[in-house]
Amino acid sequence: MMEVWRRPGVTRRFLVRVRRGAPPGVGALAWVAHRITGLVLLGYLFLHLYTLGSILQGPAPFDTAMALMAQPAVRLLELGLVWVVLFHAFNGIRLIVLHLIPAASQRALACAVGAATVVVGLASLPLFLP
Amino acid sequence: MTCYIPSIEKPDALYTLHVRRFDPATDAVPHWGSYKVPFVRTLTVVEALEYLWDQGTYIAFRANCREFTCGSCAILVNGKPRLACDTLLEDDMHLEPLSRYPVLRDLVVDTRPVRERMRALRLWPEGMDRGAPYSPSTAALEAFRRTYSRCIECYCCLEACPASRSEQSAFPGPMYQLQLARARAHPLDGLNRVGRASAEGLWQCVNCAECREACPLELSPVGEINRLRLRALGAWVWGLLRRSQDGRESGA
Amino acid sequence: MGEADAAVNDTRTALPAAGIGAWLGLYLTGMFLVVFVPAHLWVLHYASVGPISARAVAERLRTPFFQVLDLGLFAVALSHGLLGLRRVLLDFEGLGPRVQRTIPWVLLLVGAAIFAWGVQILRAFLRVAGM
Repeated sequence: MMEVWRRPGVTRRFLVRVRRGAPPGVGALAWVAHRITGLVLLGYLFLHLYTLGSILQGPAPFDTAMALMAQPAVRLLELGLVWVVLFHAFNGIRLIVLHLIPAASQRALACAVGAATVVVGLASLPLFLP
Repeated sequence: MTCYIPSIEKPDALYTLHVRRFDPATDAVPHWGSYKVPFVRTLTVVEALEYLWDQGTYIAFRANCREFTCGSCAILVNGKPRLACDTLLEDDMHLEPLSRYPVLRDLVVDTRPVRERMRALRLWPEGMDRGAPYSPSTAALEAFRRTYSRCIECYCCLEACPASRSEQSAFPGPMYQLQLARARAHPLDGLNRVGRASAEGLWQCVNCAECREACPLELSPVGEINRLRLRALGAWVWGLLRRSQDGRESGA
Repeated sequence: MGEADAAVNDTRTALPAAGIGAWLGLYLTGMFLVVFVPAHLWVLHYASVGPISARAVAERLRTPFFQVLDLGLFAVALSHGLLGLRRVLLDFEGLGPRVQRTIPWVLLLVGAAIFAWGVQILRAFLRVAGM
C-alpha cells in the first residue's frame, strides 16, 4: 500500500471546495491573490525595464516611448497596476504584522487588507483622471 | 454495528448523502454512491453512516469517541476536512476520505506516514537532567492547557494546508510544528526543537490560516509557527552576537 | 543525540527547502519596498509635468543620492521578485530534486544579468546628462 500516493493539487482541492459550497477562508484567498499579484508585478518589472531600455538607443527614442506611456489606454493599464501593487503591498504588511503579533486575528487582518486596497485604490483614482 | 440512536420514527426530512466509495478488492477506480438518510435535528455524519450500516450499506469509516476528543473520524465533508462526529448532517453532503493518504477502503485511509513522522520527531521530553527538580512556569502551564494538551492529532490541519502536500514534502504539515512547539515548551525537554522545526519546513508556511479554520478545537498551528519563527530568528541573532563578541566560531 | 536519530529516520527526499535565508530575504526586501516604492511613485509623479523626458530623468540622476536610491530600489525589487518566483517554482514538487536544486542558481544568474542591464540603462542616462 506504500506506493507513491498522487494527491490532487491545491488548485483542484480549492475549486472542489468552491463547487461544494465550503470555500477556502479569506486567508487562503489572500495567499492565492498574493502569489498572482506577485507574478504580475514581476512581469511588470521586466516590462518597465524594457521600456526604460529605450534610452540605450538615445534620448529621442526614450522620449517617444514615454509619450506613448502617457496615452489614455496605457494610463488605464497603470490604474490596474496600482490596484495590483496596493493589494500585494497591503497583504505583505498583513504578513509582517502576523509575524510580529502571532496572536492577531487572521480573518480581521485579511478583511482589512481587502478594505484598504479598495479604499486607497479609489482614493488614487483622481491621479489618473485627465 | 448497532446504531446507538433510537430508530427514527418521525424524521424531519429525508436527506441525500453522497459518499465516495472504493473497494480495492473489486473496484479499479473510486465511484460515488448516493444514499437517502432520514434526518432528525441533531443527526451527525457519524450517526448517518451508522444508520446506513443498519440498513445494509457497509461504508467503511473510522469513528470512536463520537464527541470530538479522539480525532479518529476526520474526513472531507464537501471538500473541507472536518470531524464526522462534529458535523451535523446537511442535504446533498459529499463525503470523501482525506486526500493526503492512500485510501484503504471508502473513507478509511492509511495513516502510517503520520505515525512514522511523529516517531522520527521524538516528541517525548528528552535531553535534560531528570534528577533536577523543576517547576513549570505559569506561562508554560497556560500554553499546555490552552493549546498543546488539546491537540487531538486529527489531521484536519494537515489536510487543509495548501503549503504541505504530504509527509514527504519539504513541509510535512502544521500539526508537526504545533507538536514541536509543544515539545519545546515542555519543561523537561532539552533538545533543539526550534532547529528541528526549521528543518521541518517552518519557513514554508504562507500564513493562510487554513489550519486554524479547519481545526475542530479552534487551535492555531499558524500562531505556533509564527511564534517558533520569532524564536528561530532570535536564536539566529543571538548566535551572531555571541560569535562576534567572543571572536570565535561557536555554533549558532 | 536525539537529532541524529531523527535524521536517520528521515525518509523525506532532501530538497533545497526555502529555509530561513529565503524567507528573511523576502521579508526584509518586502519591508524596504513597502516604504520606498510609494516614495518612488511619489517622486516620479511630482517630478515632472506631462510626459517624462530623458533630459528630466537624466537631470534627476546626476546626484549620487538618486543614483543610489534608484539602483538600490531596483536591486531590492529584483531580489524580492526573484525570491518570490523561487518560492513559487520550488512548490512544484513534480519537478524532481535535481531541477529544484538548479532553479535557485538559474534565478541568481538571471537576476545578475538583469541587474547588469539596469546598470547599463543608468549609465546611458548619465551620458545624456553629460557625465
